[in-house]
Amino acid sequence: MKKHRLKIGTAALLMALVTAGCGGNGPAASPSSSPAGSPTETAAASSAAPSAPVKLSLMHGWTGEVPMAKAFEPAIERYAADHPEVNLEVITQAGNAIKEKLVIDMAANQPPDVFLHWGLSVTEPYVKNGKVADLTDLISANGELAGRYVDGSLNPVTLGGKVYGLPIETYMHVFLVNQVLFDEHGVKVPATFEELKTAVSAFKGKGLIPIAANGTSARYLIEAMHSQAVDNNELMDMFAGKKPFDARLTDASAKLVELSGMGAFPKGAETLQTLQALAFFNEKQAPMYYQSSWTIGNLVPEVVGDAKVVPFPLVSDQAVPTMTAGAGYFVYMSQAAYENEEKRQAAWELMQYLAGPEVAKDLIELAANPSPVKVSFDESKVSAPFAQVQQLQQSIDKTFESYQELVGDKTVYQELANRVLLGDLTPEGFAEEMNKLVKEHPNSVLAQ
Amino acid sequence: MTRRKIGVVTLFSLPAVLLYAWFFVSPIGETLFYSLYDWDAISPRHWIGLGNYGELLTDRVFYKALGHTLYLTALLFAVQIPLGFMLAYVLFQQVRGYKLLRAVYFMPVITSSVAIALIFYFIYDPNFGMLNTILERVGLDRWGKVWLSDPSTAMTAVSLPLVWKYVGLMMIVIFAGLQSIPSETLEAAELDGASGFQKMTKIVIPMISGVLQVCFVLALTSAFKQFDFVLILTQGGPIHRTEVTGTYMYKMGFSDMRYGFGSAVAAAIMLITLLLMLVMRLVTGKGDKA
Repeated sequence: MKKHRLKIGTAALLMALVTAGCGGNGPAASPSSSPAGSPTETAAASSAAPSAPVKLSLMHGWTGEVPMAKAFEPAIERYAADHPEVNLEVITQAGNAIKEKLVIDMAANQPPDVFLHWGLSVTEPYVKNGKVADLTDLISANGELAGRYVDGSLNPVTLGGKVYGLPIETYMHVFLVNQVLFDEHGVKVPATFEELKTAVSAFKGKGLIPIAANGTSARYLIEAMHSQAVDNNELMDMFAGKKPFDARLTDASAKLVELSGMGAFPKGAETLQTLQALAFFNEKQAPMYYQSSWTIGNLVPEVVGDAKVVPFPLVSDQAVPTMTAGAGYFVYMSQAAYENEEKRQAAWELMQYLAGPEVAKDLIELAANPSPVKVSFDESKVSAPFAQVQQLQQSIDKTFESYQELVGDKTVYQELANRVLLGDLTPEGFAEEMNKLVKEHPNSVLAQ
Repeated sequence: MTRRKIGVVTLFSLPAVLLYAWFFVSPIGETLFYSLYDWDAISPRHWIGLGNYGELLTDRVFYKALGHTLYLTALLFAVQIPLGFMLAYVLFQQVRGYKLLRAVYFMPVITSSVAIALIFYFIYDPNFGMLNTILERVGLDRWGKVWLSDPSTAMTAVSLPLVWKYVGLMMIVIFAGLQSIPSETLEAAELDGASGFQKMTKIVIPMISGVLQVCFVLALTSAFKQFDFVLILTQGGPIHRTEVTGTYMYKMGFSDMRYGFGSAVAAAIMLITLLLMLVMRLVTGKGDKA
């Protein structure tokens, strides 16, 4: 009898242990987190006490290889050290994988209190489902904040007149040339598409890879050539579905095919990541490079002095010099954090710090990352290519957003551009598919 | 069995049953449940019945991914299992240093998939990779390709790391099967004058057919679960040339935020795998009876 009781007792204990192990995935659980705050766990646990630190989670992807990590991660550490009243839990996920991490956390109703992400082209589902806080009132309450950013920076996070994020990064697509390689080989830096073709032929003949391209280059190049040929208002009408994409898009994509046919890009460019393509430029294997401005921070010292930022070659006599640019990365607050008064205040302070002048200055000086914050910085601390990007942005007459921020479905758009590069879609077919894309996946921000 | 004994048996098996139900049965049930909804994992669910399955039936990319997965399965059947068998048979002959060889052949199985994928990435790199460089050095540069992008090679190139990684596992499983063959049987066959080929086809293979069935099931399931190598090497691209059902399910569920449709893809994968296993069972079952 005693034996049976013992067996039953053991079984009950086992079940209790199993049940305890299965349950309890409480809100404090966060798989890939690392505490950045100094307060002890004991202090955090007693959050009910008035003097206890506010527990705040911050999710971001500026870690690992990206140059922004050099400025951003120390900035967070500084904030945590300076704010003992906040127990900051930092959750990192490098690169685009942060998108998947955020979806999972949002779906599990355990969003980070503050997070860095792209504009509404990515975050719209969270906004529409009330997962992201409306910051309009908080921004209005801070008189200084509205004038802190360059004009138009809040547009990509504005829906129905409400603002949902603070801008932290500006993107610009830049055309970099290695002036030394151009001089060595006696090639003229191209100012027109014909000169670009001449340069491609010349460098190809010398055994170099003319343009260090990767999986994003197809669409970047099409955008660069197309936006030169079309007025901004007309472009917006095209993305809003009021006007069709026409022969000018066909022409831009035909030019991409022409460059590809000449061997302008590395073999298998479509399979390369951004930094893999940059490696060709860094290794002086490629004299030209067209990419997003954040990559400037990853130029190695051996080529920084040789690199020069120049306007993208004009595709025709009527073309207007245009730069693809806009605010591309933002800080958000979750609705859950907003609804908790204590957290709201702490989260809002953190957001203003992250999207504020101190971090912006660091991002510029340490990471060569353009900022939407109007901030003065030490020009002696920035690299020559970064200074040239700033000058070019100020001098150029026309800028236009990246097309992927304006289409209703980024994935389809990216695939279409790569299909053109790989010969799976004709330039004419590309224009037709773009019209279909705008019709089938309208951009709700443009439809406002 | 007395009622008391039944009670004790039930009580002791309950934790295992509950664990199985919680971790294995309920996720399947949930997946099937979500597959009936149009849902992005964030918004309220919208019931659409079999709508996702209807869309799946006309989805060009899904068929492409399924075709690639079946190709991968065929490659595992045709290369991985025979290679594993050959290595196991060599070890079974207790060649000199077979214990060391066994460890060496098994090593890829315990090596990280990321490390293996990176090695293959360096081999395949079209500009500075080992493969194209060797071809160039021996004067066969016209055979050089963009291995991970060219439609004629992309799927094979992305499959080879998986084939290579688990050859050692197949070898160990088959080796264990070979060791279960009584040595008397093989000795008797030798005394009767059976040739090596006859011993292989009339004794060895029939006696380890159960083990081989396990290998085929392992290969089939690993092909349909394939995800890591594809994601690291190509992310299913370019333009779905290396898409497999596992990556497509992941993309639909998490990248495109179509959780309901992604669940339908998962349910379809499960159904197709079960059907294929049933067919295999029927085919090998007939063999057993013969």
